[in-house]
Amino acid sequence: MEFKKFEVGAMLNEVSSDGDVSDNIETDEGDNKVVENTEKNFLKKPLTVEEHRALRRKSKKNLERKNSKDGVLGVAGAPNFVAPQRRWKNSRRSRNGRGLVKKSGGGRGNWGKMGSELLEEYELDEKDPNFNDEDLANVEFKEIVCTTKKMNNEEEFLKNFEMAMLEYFEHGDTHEVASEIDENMRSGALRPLVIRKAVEMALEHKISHREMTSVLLSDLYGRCLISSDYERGFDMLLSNLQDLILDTPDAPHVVGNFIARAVADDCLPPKYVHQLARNNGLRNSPKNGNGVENGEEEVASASRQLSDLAQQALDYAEGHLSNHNGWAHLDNVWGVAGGLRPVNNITKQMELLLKEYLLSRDIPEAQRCISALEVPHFHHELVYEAIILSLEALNEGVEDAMSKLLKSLEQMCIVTPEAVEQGFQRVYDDIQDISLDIPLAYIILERFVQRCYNLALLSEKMLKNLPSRGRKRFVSEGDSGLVKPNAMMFRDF
Amino acid sequence: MEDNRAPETYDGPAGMEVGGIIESNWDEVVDNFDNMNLKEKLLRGIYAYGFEKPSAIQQRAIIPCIRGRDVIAQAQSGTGKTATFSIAILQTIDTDVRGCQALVLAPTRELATQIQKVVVALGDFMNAQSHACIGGTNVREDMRNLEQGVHVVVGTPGRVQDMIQRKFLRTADIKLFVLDEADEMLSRGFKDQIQEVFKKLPNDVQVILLSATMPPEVLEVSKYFMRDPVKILVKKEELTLEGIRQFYVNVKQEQWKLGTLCDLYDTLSITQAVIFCNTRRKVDQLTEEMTAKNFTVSAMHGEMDQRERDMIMKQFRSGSSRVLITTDLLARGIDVQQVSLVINYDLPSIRENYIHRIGRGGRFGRKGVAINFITDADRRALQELEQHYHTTIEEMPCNVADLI
Repeated sequence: MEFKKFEVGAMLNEVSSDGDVSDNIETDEGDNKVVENTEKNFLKKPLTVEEHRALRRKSKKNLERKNSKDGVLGVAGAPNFVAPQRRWKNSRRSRNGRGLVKKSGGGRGNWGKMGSELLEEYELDEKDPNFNDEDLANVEFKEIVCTTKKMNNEEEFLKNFEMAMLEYFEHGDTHEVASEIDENMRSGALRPLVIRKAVEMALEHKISHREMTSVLLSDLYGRCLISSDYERGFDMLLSNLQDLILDTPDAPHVVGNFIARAVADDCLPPKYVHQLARNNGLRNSPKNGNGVENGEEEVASASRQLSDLAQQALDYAEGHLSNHNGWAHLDNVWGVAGGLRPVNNITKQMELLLKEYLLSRDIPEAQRCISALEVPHFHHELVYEAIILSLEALNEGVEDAMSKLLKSLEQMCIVTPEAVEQGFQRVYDDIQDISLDIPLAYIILERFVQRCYNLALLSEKMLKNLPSRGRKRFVSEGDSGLVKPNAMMFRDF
Repeated sequence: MEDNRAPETYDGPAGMEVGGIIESNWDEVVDNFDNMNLKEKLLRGIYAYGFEKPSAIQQRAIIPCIRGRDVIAQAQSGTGKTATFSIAILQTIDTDVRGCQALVLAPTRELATQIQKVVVALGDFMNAQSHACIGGTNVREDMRNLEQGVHVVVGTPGRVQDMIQRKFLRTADIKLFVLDEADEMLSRGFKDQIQEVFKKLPNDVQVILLSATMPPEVLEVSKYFMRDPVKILVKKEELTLEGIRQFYVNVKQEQWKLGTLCDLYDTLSITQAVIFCNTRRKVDQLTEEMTAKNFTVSAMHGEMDQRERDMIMKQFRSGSSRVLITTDLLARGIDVQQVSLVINYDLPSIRENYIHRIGRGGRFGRKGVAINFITDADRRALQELEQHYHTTIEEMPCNVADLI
C-alpha cells in the first residue's frame, strides 16, 4: 500500500510542476503583450494608473482563456506556446478520449462521481512500459457472500427497474433512474440487463419514449454503466431479436437505431458495429481470403453468432453511422416530436407540415405527421394555423384543401371536435389583429367558416358566433364633410 | 399506448350528455349496468371492481356486443373501452367449458397484461380463467396455462400467431375475436399477423374492433373481417379544463415548497386534495416531512403492491383520509373526478400529463381548483402549459379557500 501512496504523491508533484511550467510560459507571453501595448501607447501619451490596470486586467483575461481549445493555436494553426499534446506528454491523463469534457456525472476525461473509479474499465496491458508485476501481487481479494440466489436477484432487479423506467417515461429525470439503479444494483453482472430491459421496454412504447430511453442510456454512461455493459446488453438484444420481433415487428430497425445512437453518444465504440457486421459478412461470403488478416478479431467475436435479424439491425446501424455528413442526424433518429419539446417548436412543426400538405395534398401523410407529434391536447394550434394559412393564401383552392384536411382529421378522430371549436374560437378572438395584416380577413374567414359548416365540421353555434367587422364610417359615406373640419381644427390648435 | 389509464378509469356520469358528437347506427342506450341483463356473478364483479355507472361507450357498445353483432367502437383512450369488451366477453363465454373461447389482440405486451388483469378482476366471481401471452422466459408457463384450457387469451398478434403455429393454442372453440387499439396495432406493423390469426379462427367468429382513431387502414381491416358491423363513434374529448380554476404560487425556491404546502394544509383538508409530485422518491420524502410536522397525509408509495394501493384508495374514497400524495404513474386509476382540489407540487415535465392530473370528464363535471407550485426556474414551463392548453393560470388569490 505504501508503494501506491508514493506513486500518487509523485503524480501530484508531476501535475503541479507541469502546470507551473505552462503557467510560466503563459505569463511571460502575457507580459510581452503588455510591454508591446505600452510601447505603442507610450509614443502617444503616458498611461494613467487606471489605464495600466485596465491593460493588466485585459491581459490577465487573455491569460485565463489560454487553456481553451481555440486559444491554444495561433495563426495558421501554429501553436502559440506549447502544443497541448506535448504538454500532456508526461501527464497521466488518458489519451484515448477526444479531449472533450464528458457529460456531467463522470466518464473518461474528468473525475466523475465519487466511487466511480471502481466502475472504470481496468485492463492490464503487458506491453505498457508502466506495467508492473508487483501490481498483481498487491491485489487483495475480498470474500463476498451473496445471500440471495442469482435468479431471484435478477428478477427483483428487473422488476424494480421496470417500475423506475415507467416512472421515467412520466417525469424524464435521468438522475432519478440512476439513483434507483444504484440502490437496487447488487452485482455488476446485472449492469448489462439495464440496457436490455430499457431497450425492450422502449420497443413497446411511443416514439418519444424511445427518444427518452436513448437519452437515459447516454446519461447512464460512466454514472452506472461502462462501455462493456453496453456491448453485452446489445449483444443480448441482438441474440434475442427472434423473440422480440413477435411483439414488435420492426424490432431490428429500432434496435439498429438504438445502437447507432449509442455510438453517436459515445457509449459504444464504432468498432462494435463495424467489426460485428464485417466479421459476419466474412463468415457468410464464399471467399474467406481476408479472414486470415482478421483472424484475431474473428476469434474475438466468434462467440457472437449473428442471426439474420441481428445482421439486419446492424445494417441499419451501420447505414446511419456511415453517413458522410457526420452523426448529427442521429440526435433526431427518433424524429422531432414529443411533449418534451418546447411549444414553439411544435407550432413550427405544425406549420411546416401544413405547408407541406398544401404542396403535396397528401392527406394520409399529414395525418401520420400529426399523430406522430403526440400532442393531442395541442391540436387547437393546428386548427388555428390551418385557418391562418388559408386566410393568408387568398386562394379558394387552399381553403378547400384545408377544410378537407380538417374534416378528414375530425372524421378519423385524430382531432377532436373540441379542438376544432377551440381553434376557430381562437381565430375569432384574434381576428381584429389578424385583419391588420390581412385586410380581407373577415371576408375570407366568413367564406371559410361557411365551407366548414357545409362539411359538417362546425356546429351552427360557431357559425353564429362568427365575428363581423364593425362598420367603420368614412367621411365619404355621407357625413358630407361635417366631421372633417372639426378634426382639422383640432390639429390646428 | 396513448394513455394506459384505459382499464382503470371510471368515466362516471361523464358523456351522458354528449349530444351530436356520437355517430352511430345503433340507437339503444342503457345507462345502467343492472338493465343490461348480465349474469349475476358478472354484475357482482363489475360493482366490486368499482364501476357504478357505464360510460358513454359502455352504455352503447355492450349491448350489441352481447347480442352477437360485429362492433366497431371508437372512443378516446381512458373512456372504458377495455371494460366494454371484457364485460361482453365474460357474458358470452361458458366457464364450464374448458378451452379458449375469446381471443383478444392488443398492440403491446404491457397492454395485454393490463387487459388480462381487468378480465380476471371482473370475472372474479365467475371463476373465469384468463391468460396473457408474454413470451420471453415465460414461454413454458404460457404453454402450461394454455394447455390447461383458459377461457380468455390476450396477447400481441405476433405472439398469438406464434402460439397458434406451435399448436399450443386451439382455436376451434373461439367465439369472440377482439382487436383492441386497432390503429396502434396497424401502425406497429401487425397487419399481416392479424390476418394470419384471423384465418385460423372459425368462420362464424364474432369480431369486436376498438380504436381511438379511425384511419383508413382500420376501416379497411374492418371491411375485410366484419359483417354488417354496428358502428359507435364517441368523438368527444375525454378530459377538459373547463370549469377548473387554475392558479399558481411562486415559491421562488424548491425548498420553500414544503412551507407553502404546510401553510395551505388547513385549506386542503377542508375538502379532499391530491398532491402530485414528479417522482416516487419525492412522494416518500414529502410524506415523511409532512408526517414529521404532524400533518395527516396518505401516500401511494412505489413499493406498495396493488392490494395496498387499493386500500389507500378505498380510504381516500371513503373520506377517512383527506390528503393524498402521489405521482402520475401511481395515480393511474385514481378517480380524481370527485376531488375538488389538485396541487401540482412539481409541474409535470411532460405537458400532456397536466390534463390527466387536473382535468375531468364531461361538461357538467364538478367545479375544481388546481394549484401549481412553481419556482423561478419553472416560469417558462408554466407559460408553455398555458400555451399548450390555451388556458390561463392566474396567481393564487388569498381567499382561495372560498373558491373550493
